[in-house]
Amino acid sequence: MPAAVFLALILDRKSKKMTCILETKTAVMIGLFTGLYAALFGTFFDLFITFITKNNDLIVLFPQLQEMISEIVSDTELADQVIAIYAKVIEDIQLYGFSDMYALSVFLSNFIINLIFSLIGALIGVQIINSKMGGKISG
Amino acid sequence: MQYYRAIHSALFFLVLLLLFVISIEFVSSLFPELIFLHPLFNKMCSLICHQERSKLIVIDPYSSLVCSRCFGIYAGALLTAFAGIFLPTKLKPSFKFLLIVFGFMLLDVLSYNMGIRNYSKLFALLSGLFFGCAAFLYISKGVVDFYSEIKRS
Repeated sequence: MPAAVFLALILDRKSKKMTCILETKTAVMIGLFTGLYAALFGTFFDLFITFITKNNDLIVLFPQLQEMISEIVSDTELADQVIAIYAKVIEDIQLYGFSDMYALSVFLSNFIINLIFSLIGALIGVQIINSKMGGKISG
Repeated sequence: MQYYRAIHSALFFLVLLLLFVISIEFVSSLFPELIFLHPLFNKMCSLICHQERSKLIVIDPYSSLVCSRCFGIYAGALLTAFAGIFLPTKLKPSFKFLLIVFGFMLLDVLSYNMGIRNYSKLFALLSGLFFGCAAFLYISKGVVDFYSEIKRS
């Protein structure tokens, strides 16, 4: 993701034929939009593949996950409740190819992680690009 | 200097939150109810790490949701953010330091992948830790610059 934002910053400068120093706020905006686009595209792609195949990594890893949760949660009632949530999601995916809870978790995880890492890419990228504008990377 | 510390404090809590996410299994040993967050956090971490079982930090039966190297990166960022809050002078990013620690990390990855030596969780953790420290300085400088630009405009 940071590399994608870096590429987006370079492409944006090339398309606008910019030669001046890049402002951090411009880089942050580009980073945010790249992250948002990646989150939406990633979510759509993940859900679409799950819908078509009615299968995903969660289903494949469920037996291991079940074992792991039983090991780490000493309260069996709580462990059963967590496993029941997973089981419901898996049942929905196998039956309909879609689970609202799975869709929400995919969207949230994509959204949060992509935004964080795109911002990191923008903040580091702007310093690398500006260092080539006659300045020097600090240090 | 005042807002430099404030920014480091904010970043410290953000990195702490990220470490909470990747350590949810350890945390759930103290607060079992939090295990409900495990599915969401596991999905989040699958986007940033390969999560290979043999490379996770394990304190039986609990394990981190990311590998030792990734854990080290976030731990390094947390330590640097913490240092930034309390040190009397500003921490400045150093490109040389970044290159050296990146080289150390690359050497660790390559020597393992080429079969020269076995995977060491400690080495992976340390290489990640140093890289996290160096990279975090760039991120914090970026945030400080961003804040200054907003303040100016």
